[in-house]
Amino acid sequence: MESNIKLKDQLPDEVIIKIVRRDLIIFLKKLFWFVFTMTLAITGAFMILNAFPAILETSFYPVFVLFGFGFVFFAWLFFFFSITDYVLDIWYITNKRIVDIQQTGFFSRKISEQYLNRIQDVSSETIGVLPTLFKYGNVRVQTAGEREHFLFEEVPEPDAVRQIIMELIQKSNDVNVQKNTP
Amino acid sequence: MLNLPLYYFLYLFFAVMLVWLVMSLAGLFHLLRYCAKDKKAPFIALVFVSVSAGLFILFFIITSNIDWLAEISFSLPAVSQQGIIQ
Repeated sequence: MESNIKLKDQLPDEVIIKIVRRDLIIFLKKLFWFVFTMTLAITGAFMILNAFPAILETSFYPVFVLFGFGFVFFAWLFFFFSITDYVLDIWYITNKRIVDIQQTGFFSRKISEQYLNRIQDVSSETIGVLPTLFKYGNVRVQTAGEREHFLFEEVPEPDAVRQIIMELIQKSNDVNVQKNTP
Repeated sequence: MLNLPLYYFLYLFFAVMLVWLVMSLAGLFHLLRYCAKDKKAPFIALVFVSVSAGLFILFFIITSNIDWLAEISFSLPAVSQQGIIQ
């Protein structure tokens, strides 16, 4: 139970059971591609300088330096943007509802929520070599609301997340039955 | 022959870096606003600022020996009387 964090519009008696984020492997994939791109660029620059050492003596050298640094700065900035997107995609599972917070673009944020008693179906899937090896995947939650389904994308232990949601739905239904029983 | 002083390119670089700075500040604002209670967000922001500062320091070290008042020459293609580019 993640009781030290509270949602902005947390309901009375609502407790956050689990905070779900994308698996760490997604961050590592982004990091790998960034390092690969930078290595490729730096290796290319060294190869050009080795092949044409006269460039260092020409007055075009400062222009290459400016272009090179511009490339590095913007590559670093876009890597930071992708990591921010990774960090800002969060799913909250509480004892009353699920909350889906998605950073869809840099200036675009989407928050959806659905009460547990309106959830119709929960399924988990692990597709692919990396997801199978590193145990991450998707959890689909079918609801009876305006938004028909929620998708927990690339989350760790999707089976466990599905199990948690199912148990909470069961508890929520049991509480409702007790309330309605005279 | 077109002669351009190098500091024109430096000013262009500064203009591009101004765009970079605005985007960086927007990104940091987003990260710290929405993840204020999260321990990861300040750490990521700190790493971004530190590495960016390191890149700026590296840039100043590498460009400190460049004479920005020097000019670079671009040879424009010569056009003959018949209008053929040579």
